[in-house]
Amino acid sequence: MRLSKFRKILRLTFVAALLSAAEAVMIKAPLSDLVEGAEAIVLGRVQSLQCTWSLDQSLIVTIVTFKVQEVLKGPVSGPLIILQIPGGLIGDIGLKVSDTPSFRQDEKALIFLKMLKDPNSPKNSHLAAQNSRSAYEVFERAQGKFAIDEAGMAEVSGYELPYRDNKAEKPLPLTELKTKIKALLRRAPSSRGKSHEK
Amino acid sequence: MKNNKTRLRAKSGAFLAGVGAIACAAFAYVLMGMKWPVGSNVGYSVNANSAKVAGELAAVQSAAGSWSAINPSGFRLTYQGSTSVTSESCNGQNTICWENQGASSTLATTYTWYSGGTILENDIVFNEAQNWSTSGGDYDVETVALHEMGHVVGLDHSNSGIMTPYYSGIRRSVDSDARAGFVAMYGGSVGGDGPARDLPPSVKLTSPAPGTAVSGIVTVAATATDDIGVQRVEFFSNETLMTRDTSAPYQYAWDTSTLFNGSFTLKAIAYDTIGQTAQAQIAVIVLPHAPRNFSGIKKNNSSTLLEQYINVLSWEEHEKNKDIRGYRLYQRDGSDWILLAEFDAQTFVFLHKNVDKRKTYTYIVKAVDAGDRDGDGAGLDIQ
Amino acid sequence: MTMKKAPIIALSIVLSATSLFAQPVSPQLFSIKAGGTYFYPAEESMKNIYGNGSGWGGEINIKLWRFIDLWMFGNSFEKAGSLPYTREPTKISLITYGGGIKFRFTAGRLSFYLGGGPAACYYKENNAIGQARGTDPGFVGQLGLYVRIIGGLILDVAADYASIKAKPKTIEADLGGARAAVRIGYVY
Repeated sequence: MRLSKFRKILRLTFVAALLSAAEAVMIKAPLSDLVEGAEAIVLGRVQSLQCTWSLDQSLIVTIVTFKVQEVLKGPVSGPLIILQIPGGLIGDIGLKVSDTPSFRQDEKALIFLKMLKDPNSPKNSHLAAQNSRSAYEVFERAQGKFAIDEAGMAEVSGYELPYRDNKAEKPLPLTELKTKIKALLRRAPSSRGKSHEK
Repeated sequence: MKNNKTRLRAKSGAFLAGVGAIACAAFAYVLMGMKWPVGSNVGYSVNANSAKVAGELAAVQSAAGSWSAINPSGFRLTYQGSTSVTSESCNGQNTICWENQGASSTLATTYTWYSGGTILENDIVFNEAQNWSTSGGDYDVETVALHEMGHVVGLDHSNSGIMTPYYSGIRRSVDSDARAGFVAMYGGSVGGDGPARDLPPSVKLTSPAPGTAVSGIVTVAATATDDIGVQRVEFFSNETLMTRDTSAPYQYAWDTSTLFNGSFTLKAIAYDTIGQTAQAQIAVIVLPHAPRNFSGIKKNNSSTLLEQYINVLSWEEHEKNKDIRGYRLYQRDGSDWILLAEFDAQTFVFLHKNVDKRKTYTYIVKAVDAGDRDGDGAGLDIQ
Repeated sequence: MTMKKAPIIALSIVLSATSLFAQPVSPQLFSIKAGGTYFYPAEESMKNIYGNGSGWGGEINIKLWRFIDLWMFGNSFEKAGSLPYTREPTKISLITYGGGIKFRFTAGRLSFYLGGGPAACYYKENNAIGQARGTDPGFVGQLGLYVRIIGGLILDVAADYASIKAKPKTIEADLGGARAAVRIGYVY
């Protein structure tokens, strides 16, 4: 695998890692698998983030309040949904869970979603339990979130580092990503979404 | 490139936690920004509960051995035994287990508990929903374990070697890039691909000799060696753990007097400092135990004109003897023992006729097993 | 092996004294008797193993002078028993013979006698231990009486005691003992 100049430059820079950088190994999931397997695909912004303990106090989770602007596959419960992400930092104690995507305040992202299974499970947070109808998890973890930068480029951001020899990881314009997703949706008998753009 | 620089600056904004991954200039490795203290000997327990593959424990231990061999004094992983725990909570135990996490692209998940820049605990969960292999197929347990343990030592994903985030085939050695990352955290020397591994130990049972017949208290001894160090040797009798010995000479006083006679398999398992094992076993025979309650009395059986004295001998079977073929009675003759008589397994009395009224007689009776071996003897003097 | 001599000597003296007042009868030159006996062994082990028992016996008397006869006898005894511990069978056979001098005093049809002399015993014992056989000497004393029934036919009762020590191997045993006899005979 040969590295481009771009990647060589990246190797010389510091990259601040987000809370839950991937610490695992996954099977590469092609976009078609993501589109078919997700229960919903949404585009929106991170409104807030909060770390909390699970109901049984065994895990730390991060609750991301996400404002939905466009639904590419749905439906979703409403314009505001919560994403429960394993891992977080409370006081001095932190938990990093592999393959979990990271989020930032006000970050724009395209996310593949699944309803949170059994929101009342003690492994989930009280916030998920209280908002069970709008509680989701990111489908296929780090592979299920595309960060959208100010230039409108989308890239899988579960892994923060330049490993992108695989062309599938190459950033692409959001419009192109949406076109691919819609084309894949047309092939499969799955529902389409509505736009909630503001 | 610009876009890329802009993108990078954007990513350096406010994050959820103050932990930064650090990329090294000369290598592609990336540090998570948290690690174990230098000199740590991190113990781990394994719940080898996968129903889909055998040998997962050995594969995990082998992966741990690869990391531990780089600079054992700087950091190593030590197998502490099996566990039934399947929890990723911060419970003070570093656990590796298999759990069905559903059909997904996740092969394994590492949970890293930390405080500041110090790792407190790591738990690794393999996804039982995947197909696992330890014999060269996909997905290779050792390869995935090697990757996850790279996170345990404090490495993040990189674009090459074992720390790439996607599974790309069997890879059972730590590449030079990952090794460099390890050395940056824990010291040691940066070498080429595949550092020398901590080799498994070797063990040999030196006593008793294989196939021997034994009785009473038997010293079971073993020699064990390892390139780094032997942590302990465990001794087994017919798969039952007898004792653990943590220092040489490795030996154990095996009391056979409470066991049934017959065949036994003695086994010794040596463990090195990172939990790799070697075992040796032999078969021995425990001889029959001495008959119980061996007693006798001299009786006068003379007629009017003919003199005869009889030593009347009796014994009982030992409750821990089985498959006894019979008994043998010996009489001392000077410094020798002569076989006086042989009996079947149902005979427990013998009349030694025409003995001298004034003489003391010494006897031993022994049970004989199916292999025609005499067991321990019970002795008796009759005056 | 000591005879009880004093009582025998005393009895001899008494009988001798009474013979002075006895009526003279037939010459009684010769008598012969035979009949059954009952033997009481002297030896403790023989008593334990074999017990008492019956046998046969006979004797001949020849007048020597006035009331002194020459006396010869023979008795046989045979019995089976069990060894003391193993209870194996054992058997003993005794043939006791001897003789001596007898003093006889006749009063009418009744004659009393008392005698003594040397004896010997041929013995054989057989059992799982082995066999013991031999002949050993001793002595015997006898007293008895007979009654003339008709003609020279007599009915005789007697008792004797013999002491005969035998040691064929390692054990010494007294094969004598007391014997009672009831016999039929004829006096010439």
